[in-house]
Amino acid sequence: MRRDVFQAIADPTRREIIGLIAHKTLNLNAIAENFEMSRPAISQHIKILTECGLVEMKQQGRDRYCYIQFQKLAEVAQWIEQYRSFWTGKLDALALHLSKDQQTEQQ
Amino acid sequence: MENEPVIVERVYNAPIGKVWKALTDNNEIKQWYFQLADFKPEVGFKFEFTGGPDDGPQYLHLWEITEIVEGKKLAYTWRYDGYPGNSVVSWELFEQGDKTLLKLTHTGLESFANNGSDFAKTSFNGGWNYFVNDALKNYLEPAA
Repeated sequence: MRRDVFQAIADPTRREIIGLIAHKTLNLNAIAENFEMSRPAISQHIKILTECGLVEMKQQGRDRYCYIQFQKLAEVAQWIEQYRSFWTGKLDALALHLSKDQQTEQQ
Repeated sequence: MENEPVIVERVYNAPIGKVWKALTDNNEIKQWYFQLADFKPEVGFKFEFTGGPDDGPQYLHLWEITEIVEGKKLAYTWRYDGYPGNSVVSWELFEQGDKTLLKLTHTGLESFANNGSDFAKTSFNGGWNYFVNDALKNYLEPAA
């Protein structure tokens, strides 16, 4: 099965989990409290996030804490950036098109 | 995680009516956007475009107009035939004297995430190459 950042963010619950732990390291219970679904279901999502490399688990005393892996998150930003350059290119082309019109009218 | 839309804004040195025409008149759309068989600025109008890299897979892009505010706003869904996910592209125009501010917003991109990392790259590259290389080249090196 494919495990990469795109698999990680494809699910809305996993996106919310990333949002929670991006700001603050939390243990499993603290994360599960934010959701209506069962704790095992949340554990399963976190397992996938771990396999995708976005989350690292660390045992501290009796609790297991989830740490976000920011380098992996940057891959997501790069992916979105591709769309931005696509649109920037299109809007440049529109500027060129509009300026051509202007020149034609002035001639 | 925020599902951040892509927002690009640009001020054009052209009146709002002219920019609107460039967005909605198929003869003009062909000049800078995509080669579409037909285009009508009406809610529910569907159009499509097949594109991808010269040496790679081709993707059928499916669009359907969801909102028209005459002269001001055009929005359509953007998805791919045979792939999950749906996104929305909106074009909004704001009059600024004899200039026009265009705000382009592309939301829902995360819904394509499941299609893999190469998806955006391969489904868009054809367009980028054309616009970045050809359009920019023409601009920098006019035939005249």
